[in-house]
Amino acid sequence: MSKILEAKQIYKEFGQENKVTVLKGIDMEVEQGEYVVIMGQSGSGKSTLLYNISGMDKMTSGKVIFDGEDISALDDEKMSQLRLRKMGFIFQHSYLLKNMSLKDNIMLPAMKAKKCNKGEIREKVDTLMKDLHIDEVADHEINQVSGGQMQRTAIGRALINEPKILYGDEPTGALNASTTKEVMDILNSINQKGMTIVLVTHDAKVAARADRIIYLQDGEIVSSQHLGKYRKEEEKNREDMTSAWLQKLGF
Amino acid sequence: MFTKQFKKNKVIHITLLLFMILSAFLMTIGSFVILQTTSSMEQIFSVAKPPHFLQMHTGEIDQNKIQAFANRVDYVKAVETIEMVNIDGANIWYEKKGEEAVSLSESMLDNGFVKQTESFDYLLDLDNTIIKQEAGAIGVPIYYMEEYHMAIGDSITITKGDFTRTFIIKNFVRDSQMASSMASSVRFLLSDQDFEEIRENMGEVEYLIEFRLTDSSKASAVQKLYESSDMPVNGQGITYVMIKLVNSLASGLLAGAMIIISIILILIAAFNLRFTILAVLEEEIREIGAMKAIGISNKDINSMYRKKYRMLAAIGCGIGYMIGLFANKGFTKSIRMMLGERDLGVNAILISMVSVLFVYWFMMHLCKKILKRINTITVVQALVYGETGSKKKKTSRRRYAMEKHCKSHVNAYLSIKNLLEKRKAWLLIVVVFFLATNVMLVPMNLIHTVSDVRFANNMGNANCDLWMELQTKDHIEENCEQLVGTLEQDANIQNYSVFSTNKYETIGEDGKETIQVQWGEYSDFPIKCMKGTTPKQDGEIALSYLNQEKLGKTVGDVLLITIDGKQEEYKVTGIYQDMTSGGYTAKAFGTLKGNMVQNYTIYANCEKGTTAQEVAKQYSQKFSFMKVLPMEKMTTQTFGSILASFDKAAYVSIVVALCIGALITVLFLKLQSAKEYAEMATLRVLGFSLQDIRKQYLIKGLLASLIGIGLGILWCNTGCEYLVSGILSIADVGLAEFEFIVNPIYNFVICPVILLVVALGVTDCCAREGKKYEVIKMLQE
Repeated sequence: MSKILEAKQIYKEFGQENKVTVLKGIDMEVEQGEYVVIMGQSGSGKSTLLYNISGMDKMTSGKVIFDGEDISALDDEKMSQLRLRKMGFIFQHSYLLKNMSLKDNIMLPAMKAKKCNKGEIREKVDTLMKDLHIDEVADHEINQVSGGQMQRTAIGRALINEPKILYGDEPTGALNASTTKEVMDILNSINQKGMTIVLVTHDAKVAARADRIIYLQDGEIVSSQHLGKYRKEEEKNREDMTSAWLQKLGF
Repeated sequence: MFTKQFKKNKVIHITLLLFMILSAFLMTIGSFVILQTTSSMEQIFSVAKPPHFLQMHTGEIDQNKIQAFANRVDYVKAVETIEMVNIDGANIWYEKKGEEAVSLSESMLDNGFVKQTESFDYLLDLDNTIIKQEAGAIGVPIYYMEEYHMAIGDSITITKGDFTRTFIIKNFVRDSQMASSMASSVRFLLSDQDFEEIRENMGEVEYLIEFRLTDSSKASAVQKLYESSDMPVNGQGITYVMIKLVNSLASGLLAGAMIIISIILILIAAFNLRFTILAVLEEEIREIGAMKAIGISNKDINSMYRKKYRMLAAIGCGIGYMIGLFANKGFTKSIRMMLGERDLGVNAILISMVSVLFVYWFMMHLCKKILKRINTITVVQALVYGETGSKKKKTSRRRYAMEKHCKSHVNAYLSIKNLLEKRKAWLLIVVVFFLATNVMLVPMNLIHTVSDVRFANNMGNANCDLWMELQTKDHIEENCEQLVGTLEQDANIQNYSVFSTNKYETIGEDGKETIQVQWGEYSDFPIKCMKGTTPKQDGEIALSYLNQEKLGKTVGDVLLITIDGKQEEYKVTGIYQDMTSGGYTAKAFGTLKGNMVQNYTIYANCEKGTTAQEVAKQYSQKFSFMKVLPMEKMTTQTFGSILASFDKAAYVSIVVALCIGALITVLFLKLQSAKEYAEMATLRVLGFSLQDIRKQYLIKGLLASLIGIGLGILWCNTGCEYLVSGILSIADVGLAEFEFIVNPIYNFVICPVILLVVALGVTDCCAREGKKYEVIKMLQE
């Protein structure tokens, strides 16, 4: 499998006078189709790492190669195009646009990217919404649906342009247990179809769904755990293994 | 928190402060202007004792008859008949020491020469003391002192034919009747013996028959009584109210304008304040939520924010007031020059302070009202949803669905969608640019209209190249014959017509009235009529708009005019507009009826290849007994001083309108971008670049301002004329229908382009502010 993401010696500092180094020379690689979770205590730098490797934040020094391209020095226009066409993002909050239906929210990036014509976009949106079980509320606005439906819409929006990678920052953080499970099942499903996923989470059960878990402490990768591809029948086993491993690390 | 706020929004807070300073400053100045005008006028009137009723008369008078009238009327306290020798500006030469003499021929003012009065209507010097003129000395009106920078010791020479007399300027005259620069006549003061010499050798005598009354409010009644008593009425009658009006009009307008501008600035500062506070609330809503969550009361939170704006308002009003206190002398200089110096005392300071306190109170009241919304915000609303408690919006019907309305340009779709959904908010930009367009177009349209030769139609004049007038009574018939003879022989003149004017008695709605009638043949030089046509045959007459109202006659009615003791019928064929002679004129077909002629007016057209300017100059040099002007200069001369100051005011207004338009757009966009922060962040995450965000704001700014500018242009070229007509007809200046004569390039190209450039420039600057934020910071915030 080829590498889709390579991060080399990522350093990130905050502050002018009293500088705080949040990332201390991180090296990491992600293979195409891999499902990677980044974990760590609060303040370990996991979200910072995610934003820096995805190009959402500017690192202090280091290099990130995504899909063969060095994204460290790209200008805003090129970086925006990258986010539009090759990356998908989901967050703890869905950040859907108000005064727009769920369908329009999903359609928006596709209309912007213009990878295909309007008719084809419409079909893709309809298929995606069916797969995400939100086709019945397609014409609803965001204040008329549940949190889970909103998060699924956000996933649909992130996937509509068939990105090469999906980034997520605590995507289940605001959801209840059953909705969390729904979202995790969707993520596993799309990963099985070949989507590369990099998530940040503090939830061991969510982490257990990944192929690999990276553990961050004080801005450095201290350990990683390979779990292999997720299978439903191994779920309990994976959760136990993950919990034990995390306990050893002091999580 | 507040220092951080100030630093973050330095521009907005400084702008807010500036507006408060300006409002307070203008309020202060406006108060001082009003106070100075009223008290200076009170002072000059108390010393000079202007007449309560004045009748100008040219011709024979019977002083005994006048005295008998005065004795008969109980209200009359004193009567005086003043002789005034009118001398044409071309015959008056001013010479500064060591420089060449210049004539006063370019001035449109009527120059009257008088001696000091005996019992009232005194002419004063610059110390407001009654002048006792020495032989060989002359007192020159303040207007000329300012216009020609005259000084004591310079000389004035009067010439006519072989007669020449030089006087030394010993004082400058303050005239309680003609103090304002808007008066059309001025008076020079000579000693008694010098006046007699001038009267014998120069010009014609006009009489000012003046009355002081026991009760000045009875002036109109005395005027009516006078006019119905077979008294000398060959001239204009003026009451005390008109004298006060003329004296106070210019400064009244200035004060009025300042106060209006101050109020506008207060409103703009209020907008500014509202936007600033709302933007701050949007930005700090979570902090407010946190404060509420930890138990800080609404009252205390409110008080924290109010303190900041209270400080801003106090500083702004204080600085504005102090600057106004020191600067007011500059604004009242003209008033003090014309009406005299008068110490205003503590009252002025107190009254101006009260006006500024009003500004402060208004700002605080508004602040309190806006900040009240803090009380309605719940902790959850603030912390979880980041809502600022603005009015609940109805659940929108889903319109503008992307599937249906988005063709291909997503930025355009999002912009128009946003504009339509938030149309109430964006209406502000539409209104601002609508108003800015009006401010840019209306004054310029007015100036262009008044300066245009076609405006002469509103002065009861025909379209022609040259306007000539003979007013000098001495040898007027011979002079006219001489002039006509020259016109007849002059190859430069294509055609001409002679019109003669006199006053007659007629019957109006309230009884006997005096009517000024111009006689002539109008076929070559017709008058533009609002209704009907110019008179074409004997027995036909056209009336001015105001005369139509006064006499209660319209087209088709019959007017009775008493000529040489006999009543003759004249059919009213037309109604025209005329701003001259107070607006009360009439034009009849035929030759002059009656014995005396008041003046002759000649309209002439020049042959092709000849300029009216050159011909006018030739005639002006050849004939000293008349005024001659190219018609295109007629209106600019007549309204010259008003146009000049209006011109300056128009350009200042344009700059102000553009600055205000830009400022309000900036403030509005700042607020909008604060409100739309989360939305912008989401779009950035989805792959919209900074360019895309910028394009969306530019599209919205362009559309909103374009609508405002379009509506403004439409209004200025249609409805505005009706409004101006309405105002002018209420003002009773002789105009009822007003048509703008516009400069199409300015109206339809220059003005909209300038406004659009400002709108887009400002929008672009605001949109580029987005560059400060990185995507993740926007999301985290």
